[in-house]
Amino acid sequence: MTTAIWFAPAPSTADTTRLTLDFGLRSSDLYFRELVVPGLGGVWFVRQLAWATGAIALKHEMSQLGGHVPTATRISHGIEALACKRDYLDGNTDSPMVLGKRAFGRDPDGTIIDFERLTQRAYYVVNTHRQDTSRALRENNGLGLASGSRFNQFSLTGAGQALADTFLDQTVGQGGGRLRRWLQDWIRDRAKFTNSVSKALVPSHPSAGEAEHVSSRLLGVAGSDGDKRRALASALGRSKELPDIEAVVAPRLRSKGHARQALEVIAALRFGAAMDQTREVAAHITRQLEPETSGLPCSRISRDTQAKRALSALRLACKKFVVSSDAAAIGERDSLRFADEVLGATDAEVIASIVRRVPDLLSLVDGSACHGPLFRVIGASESTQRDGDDEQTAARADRTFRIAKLHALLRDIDRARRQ
Amino acid sequence: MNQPQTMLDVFRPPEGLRGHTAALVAMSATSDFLEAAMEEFTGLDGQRRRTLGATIAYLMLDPHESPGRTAVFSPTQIPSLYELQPRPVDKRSLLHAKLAILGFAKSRAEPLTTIRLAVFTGNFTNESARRQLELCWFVDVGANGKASAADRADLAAAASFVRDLVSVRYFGAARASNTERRALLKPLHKLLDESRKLGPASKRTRFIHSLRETLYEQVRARLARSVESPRNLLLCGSGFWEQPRQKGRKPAMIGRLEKLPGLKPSARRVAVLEPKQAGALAAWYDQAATDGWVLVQAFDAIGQRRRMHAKFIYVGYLRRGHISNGWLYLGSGNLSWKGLMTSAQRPDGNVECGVVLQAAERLNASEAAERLFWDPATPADIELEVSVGSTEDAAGTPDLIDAPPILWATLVEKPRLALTLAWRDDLEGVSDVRIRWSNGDWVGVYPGDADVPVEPFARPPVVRVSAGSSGKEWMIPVIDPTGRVSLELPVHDTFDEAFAALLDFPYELHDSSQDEGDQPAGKASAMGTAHRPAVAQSKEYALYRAAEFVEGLAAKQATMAGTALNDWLEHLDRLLPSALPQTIIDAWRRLGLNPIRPLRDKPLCPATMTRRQASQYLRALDRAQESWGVQ
Repeated sequence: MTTAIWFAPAPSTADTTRLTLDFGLRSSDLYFRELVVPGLGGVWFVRQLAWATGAIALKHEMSQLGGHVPTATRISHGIEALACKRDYLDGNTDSPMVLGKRAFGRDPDGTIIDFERLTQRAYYVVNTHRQDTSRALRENNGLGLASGSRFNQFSLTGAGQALADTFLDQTVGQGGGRLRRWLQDWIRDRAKFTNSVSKALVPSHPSAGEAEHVSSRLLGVAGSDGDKRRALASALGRSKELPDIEAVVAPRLRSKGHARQALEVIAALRFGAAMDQTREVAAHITRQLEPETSGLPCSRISRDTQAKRALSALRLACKKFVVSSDAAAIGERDSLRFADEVLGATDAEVIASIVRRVPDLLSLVDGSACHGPLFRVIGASESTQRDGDDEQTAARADRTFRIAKLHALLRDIDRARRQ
Repeated sequence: MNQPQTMLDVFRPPEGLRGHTAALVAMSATSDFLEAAMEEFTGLDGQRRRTLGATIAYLMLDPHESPGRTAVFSPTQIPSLYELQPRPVDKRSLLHAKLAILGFAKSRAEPLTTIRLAVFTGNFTNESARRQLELCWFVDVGANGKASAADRADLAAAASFVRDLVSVRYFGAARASNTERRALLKPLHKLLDESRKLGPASKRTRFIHSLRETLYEQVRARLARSVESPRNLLLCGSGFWEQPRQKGRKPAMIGRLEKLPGLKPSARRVAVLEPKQAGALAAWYDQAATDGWVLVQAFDAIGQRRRMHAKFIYVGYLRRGHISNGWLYLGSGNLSWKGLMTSAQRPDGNVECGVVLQAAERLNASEAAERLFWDPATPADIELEVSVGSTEDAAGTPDLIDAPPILWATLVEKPRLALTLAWRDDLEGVSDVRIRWSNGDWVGVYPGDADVPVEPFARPPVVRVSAGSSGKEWMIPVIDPTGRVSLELPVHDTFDEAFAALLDFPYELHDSSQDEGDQPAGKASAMGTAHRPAVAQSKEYALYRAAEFVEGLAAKQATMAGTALNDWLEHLDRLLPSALPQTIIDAWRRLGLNPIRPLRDKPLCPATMTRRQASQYLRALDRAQESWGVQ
């Protein structure tokens, strides 16, 4: 029992009620992501899929043995937390694959490695890599590794089971023990950690076998989604840096006979640019509103020089988006409606429209922008990503981050094959 | 529980336990912080809690309006949290106390095993949790009564304080029947009653509040009783101080602080403050005759320049750069006249609370900087620029939040589906009150009305209420016939999805369905949908589905026992009656199939059930069978 304690709280880091800066265009955003790289979800390295399929397989296998078995979600969370923590403790502290750095930093000796605690948010993160895999795992519109509607109800397909087996059948420890057995013992709080387990788990060292399975689902399947991914993979190449989408990737696609795909990529890029400019305007609004707790008329906000500049840039971005959307014959309604709204309205009206689109951040009262329930000053490159997810933060812009993810995944596959 | 580090950590259950019931009191709160706190406390995200139909936390806030707050939180805004509607009070009086009483149990169906009392200097906002320097004190008390008498006494005193607040300053619907009260407020009263019962007959408490006596008097009395030999340090911190009355004159509260017992006349006097919120200290400090007081800017040891908001008085020793053997007040009361020198005995007095405790620890300079925001090794900045700033704990003239004329509604099924309304107990001659649920029309209602009939298909989780010509509207919770509050069960179009949701147990925090790439409900992109049509849900005949249902459910519950079984039975009772799509139920009815019946047979029941659990299980099956209309 805890005895009485007094303390000065450190700043809370949990951010469960995330500020959503999608301006009511989340569906459009998802649409453009899928259009550019179908079926990938948020996956950008091999082990994300290996952990997730491994967890679903373990859940199924342990359920056959009876007794209480944690959900697949929790098992996946635990495996991922342990893997990231091992990588972190081994000195891989800068890797964007490693989430939970803040929590791990509070346990520098690495004493907390049990399943029970690592599956609690305080010892890892709230938003895990696993959440980025759900879409990619699916049979419909994903990479076909599992069927079902929710992660906890997923059943592995043949391909999913093969990936899980390759991951779980890795040898750990002396005497030829398998990772599968070790993880089962660990979940039941009966395992001791050894260094060989580290390598079998950490995000940065997928086995060649795992990489092959992922590669075959990514690039080796028939159908339009597979065709699209193959064409894009070829256009991206494997250079360390992500090539410029407009100057390099789109021309390569065109030259290989994928003209329509090139137009779609450009349209998605333009949509992303319009979103970024909208965020820029929102950032100006919040900066002006910070000291004005009782609000400011939209007309007054729009008179600010910097806001005017941001609004002009937004109009230009929207104009370019509409042109590229027409060229690719994309009729995504919500995004076009938003662009029309911006192009056909006065500055004050655009401000009011943006304010209405972020009700958590701002509210509109009698023509004035006021603080919303989650008001804070946001940056123009505001990210709502999670702890330690630098990769996503860096790749936020221009809706190309799905392409950046594909590029990262391809390089991870290549690395594993070379090992 | 590991050593807490943040305000949110205080809401985290001890190992092996889950949050059961919470009473939360503060001046203000924001939905983001409360949602995070509820996740910590329950281990469930909002989407999950929405389907529980359980009120887990009760919130009591100051009733004054602010730009961001003109009504209490709606019943569905933070799932499983109910904010009590405030009664009208003197506009000058502020509810400024900040505390939480948190009950923990092994599961929702089990009795409380631990009750935590936490006293904060910050409100339930992310501003407090992230950007302000705050203090917190908490203690866990075993519900078996084996905790120390001092801990139990504090918990009991705090529970009595909250109970008094509920009865005097909030609506509990005195006209409501016992059944209704039980459904909505019983968990709160149970938590408070159990906490109070744990208290020893007579024991001086560390916990203090200002319902009857000022905080200052209680701090003074405790110091006089506890401090044996005079100390040489008076360290005071506050985010706000009293407002200046006469320019340059010594603030009255400063004089009172100097007179606290247990201090040498030569004691060093330090006021830790936010320079731009110095209140009456600003003008006084400019006079350069500060009777030995030194004003210092609060120090943020982690370099984030957080704003000082904590309120504390530390009476201890300062020796060779260390502070030690101290007594500490921390709590809601600012070191202002209003904060420390008023009580709720006066109509305009504030409601405050805090603790006075022994802080025997020896803190070196960096520890003092970290825990009390003052570094004894750093010389005071005599050039500190201070200004009056604003005050926090004087209410000023904002209006009070209006409570709705009806506090909640109860759905009754017999003799017909209808809503029973719980009216406020203080209304005289009320007229022009209307209610509306789902997408129906507004219906005029009167305090004398019996029940208001509801369309047979309507199961509203909330009801809108409007009163008068102003068009003012509120949302009030609906208690369903099983006692569940604002229950919102997910609707599934297909058997597969619905059955998967039914079998999705136990709930865990990380089971959120909000995965990356998921479409928000009901907002599929027009093009996106057209581009990737959902694959048609496969086939299947009613008979096959019935067999799948029976087998799946039986397999799920075959090994369930103990705590998990209790939760499973509650889950079944809640979800089963309306879990499956109407199309499959209709098909079963047409074919004369009753998939519930086999589940009553022993081989398909949970393996080990007590008599009580067995009757609960059969009741859940009865309700489902009746709801489905299968024979």
